[in-house]
Amino acid sequence: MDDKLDIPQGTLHLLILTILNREPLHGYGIAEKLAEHTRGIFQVNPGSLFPALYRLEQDGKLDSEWHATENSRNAKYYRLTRSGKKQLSEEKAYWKQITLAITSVLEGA
Amino acid sequence: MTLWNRFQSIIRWIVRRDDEESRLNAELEAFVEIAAAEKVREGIPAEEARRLARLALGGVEQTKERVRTGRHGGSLDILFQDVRIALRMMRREVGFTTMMILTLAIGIGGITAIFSVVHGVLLRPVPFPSPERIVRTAGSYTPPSNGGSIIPLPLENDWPRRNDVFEEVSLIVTSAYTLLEGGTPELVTVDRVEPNYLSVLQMQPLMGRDFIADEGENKFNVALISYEFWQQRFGGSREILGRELQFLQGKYAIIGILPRGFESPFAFSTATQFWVPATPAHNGGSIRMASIGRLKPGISRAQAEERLNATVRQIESENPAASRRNLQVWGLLKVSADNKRLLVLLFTSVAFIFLIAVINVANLMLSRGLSRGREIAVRAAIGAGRGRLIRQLLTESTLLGLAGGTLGIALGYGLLNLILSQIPQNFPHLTSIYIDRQVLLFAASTSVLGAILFGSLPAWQYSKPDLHSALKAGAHQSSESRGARWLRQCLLGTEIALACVLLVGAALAGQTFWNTLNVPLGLNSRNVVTGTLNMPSDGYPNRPARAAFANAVVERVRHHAEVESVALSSSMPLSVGGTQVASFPKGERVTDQDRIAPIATGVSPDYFDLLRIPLTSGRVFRDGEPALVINETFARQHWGEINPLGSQINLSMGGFASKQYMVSGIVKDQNNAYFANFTTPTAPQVFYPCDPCAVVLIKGKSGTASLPSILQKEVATLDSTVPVTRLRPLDDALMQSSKWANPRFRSTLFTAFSLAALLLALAGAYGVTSYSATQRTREMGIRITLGATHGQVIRTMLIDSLRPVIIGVLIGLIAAWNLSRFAVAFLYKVSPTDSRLFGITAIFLILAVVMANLAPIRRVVKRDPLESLRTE
Repeated sequence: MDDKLDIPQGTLHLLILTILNREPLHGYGIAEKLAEHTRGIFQVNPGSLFPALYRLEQDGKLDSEWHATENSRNAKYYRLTRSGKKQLSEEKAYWKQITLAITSVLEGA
Repeated sequence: MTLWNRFQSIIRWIVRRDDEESRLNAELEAFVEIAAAEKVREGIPAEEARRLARLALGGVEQTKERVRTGRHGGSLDILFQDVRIALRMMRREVGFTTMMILTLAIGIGGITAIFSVVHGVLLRPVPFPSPERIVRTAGSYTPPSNGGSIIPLPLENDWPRRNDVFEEVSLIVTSAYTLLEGGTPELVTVDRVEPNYLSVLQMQPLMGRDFIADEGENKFNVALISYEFWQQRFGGSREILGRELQFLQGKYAIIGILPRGFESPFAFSTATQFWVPATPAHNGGSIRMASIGRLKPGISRAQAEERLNATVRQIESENPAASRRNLQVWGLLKVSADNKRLLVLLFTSVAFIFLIAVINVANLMLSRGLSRGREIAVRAAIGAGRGRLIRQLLTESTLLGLAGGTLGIALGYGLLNLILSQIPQNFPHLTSIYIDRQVLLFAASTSVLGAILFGSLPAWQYSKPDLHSALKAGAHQSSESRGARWLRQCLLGTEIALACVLLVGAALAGQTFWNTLNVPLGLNSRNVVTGTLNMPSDGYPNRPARAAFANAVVERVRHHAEVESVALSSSMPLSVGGTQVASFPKGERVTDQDRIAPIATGVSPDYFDLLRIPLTSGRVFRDGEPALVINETFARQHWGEINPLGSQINLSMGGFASKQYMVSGIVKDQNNAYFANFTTPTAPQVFYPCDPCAVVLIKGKSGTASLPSILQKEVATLDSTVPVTRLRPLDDALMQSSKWANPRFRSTLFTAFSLAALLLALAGAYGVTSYSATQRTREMGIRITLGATHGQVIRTMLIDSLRPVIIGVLIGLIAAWNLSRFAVAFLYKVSPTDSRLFGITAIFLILAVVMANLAPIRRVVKRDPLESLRTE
């Protein structure tokens, strides 16, 4: 699958929160994980990723600290805060409802 | 908690910007390195891996910019950044910035000053609640038809309270008091009111306290003073409460200060400066009908007038001998249609000036935008988005707008003072004209609006730069597109058209003023000084006492060597002064009318000689003789072909004591037209012997310089408590009378405005020409190299530069032709479409532009052609 899709509007935050819920990651790691989990369908541009990270951090959903990667480079690692976890579960529930609703419309039709 | 985080983060970005920036840098750098390391692991050579990783980031600067703008508080941060850039630009181009700020300041200054007048006169609400229910009442006697005297109604205090129209009412008597503070006695206007006066208006003093109920008994000498007197006399000091003011009429302690602009809803001629409590019992022996009242809700002025007159009829029926009285009910002072129109015209003028200023600045910004094309292209190349560029340019113009606005408001204060020094004293709501918060708000928002207006054009034009051509080596200035050139010429044409309209306005106003100066007056005011003696009723209770004092003054003044002659009159020459009812005894009736109301002026016999008013027939009355002199209009209107000399006339002032006079002479008409324009025909006038007179006229042998002090000194010698007011040369007095003051005020303002407009438009034309001449330097160089003479090239350029100007002038003339009819009421002996004035204006404007354009064109043409070719 070579076709790459833009991430649907408004879901980037949800995806970032989901990925960071598993483990703290740096910017590049988040982009990699995103591509990996979606089998390369979703490609996030750093020009969108970093503004989103800064915004989430400003909102108190993310926390960050600098430490070394496994290759002993310094990088800024992001992780979820409690408020971020709460936001994740809310958005997840909401997203499930939406997809359920859309799917049932599509299949009903 | 989150909010607090967010706030902290915003502050951090603003305060420790460099730290935050370097952290963002490090993070993006880490991103590239990690990505490169990944690629190296996949077997790509290190150099190539780094390049690919950078590509993946998709432009470091762009990403950084998106992080910055995407953050909370990002816009605030960007604003600071934009302001920094803008200030740097402004510092770099001082001349340019100064020019724009000055241009804007002129525009904003005019708007601020005129808006404060419009606001004070038309818009500012009256300083008390439900003004539509506040009325003034006044009564007048119906003169007895038999020519006999009026018999006043007896004292009756509570007539307004005898019916149910008022919620509250306060009788009021306006008097002149003599203030004895400082060197010379001063005549001031005092309203003697019932203590409930302020509660009728439902308002409070600004400082201090209101009257209390029993202060009306006159046992307590207390006074409220006006804001204006407080400011002028005491500089707004808070210490003055309780201070005593010495009047000839007694000592009064200041208990309160009324709010600013308070009296203007009532003021008709002289603004009241003091209010003292009184009961109607002290207002003389007869019934007073002047009051200020608040009507009950739902009662109209007409209903109130009807019911109040019914009450008066009832009082009259209890006193059958008394003369009948009529009572009128007025609302608060209304601004006349003429004055409203004048304000609209003035405001339109300053709006035009403002528009010209804005267009000028837009044009300057456009031409500067061109030379900045490269800078803007560089900004775009390193990551500034279109929105960001527009913001940057708009920030610059807003800053300019604010700077211009601030300077403009300062200019507005100065201009307003100038206007107030010129404004006719009968202008309504004078004390309400000042710059307050609303005016400032208006000026500030106009500046910002202007900034957006002039900022949006260049911002729109230069926010989509053609990067390639702008960055091309050697392109010092990106060249102007056809569209941009056309836009600039349209803007220039528009400002010329606006300036043309204002110039036509100024020409019409100036011609009018000139014409009014050349109106034949029918008298000679040369070397004449006039002054009014204000004899207090306490010291001069009756007519003989006043006449004796006035005559004594005349005798003393007459003996000075500088004085040629002295005369007395009851009112200023050419002013209306008083009218009297002239009726004609049996057998003397010539026309259908048995009574008319001529202007009546009491004069001493020397009056005509002093003012060089020629007698056409008969003679002047002698001292003590019951005879009078009439003007030609009176003779013509009333007697026609019949000789009026020797006829009898009864004169009665306001219906009181009627006296019989014989017509002894006829004088030439003077220009005594009543209203403030010169189109009213001469009114019939009678000159009767002083009864008594208070205006002293002195004619000097040469000049007027020493005459005022002679009069002052002689009056003071006789009685130091008599103030001499309005002491000035007759020429000045005439110029300050509304007859001349109005047209002079208008022509001064319109001339000033049109000069400002002309200046700005010329600066605009100069800027545009200078810019396009520079653009065409190369073309001129080629032409001259090919053999064209300087003169030819200059001519070509000049003609090119005049095209938008001539079109602008034509449009301006057409607009002025259509607009000038709104000014008809202000014109005298000049047609609103006077083709001579229109033509002169057009030629003058075009010549002025030619002069302004020649300099930059010559500068370019005179350059060495070889050098011109090389520079491009």
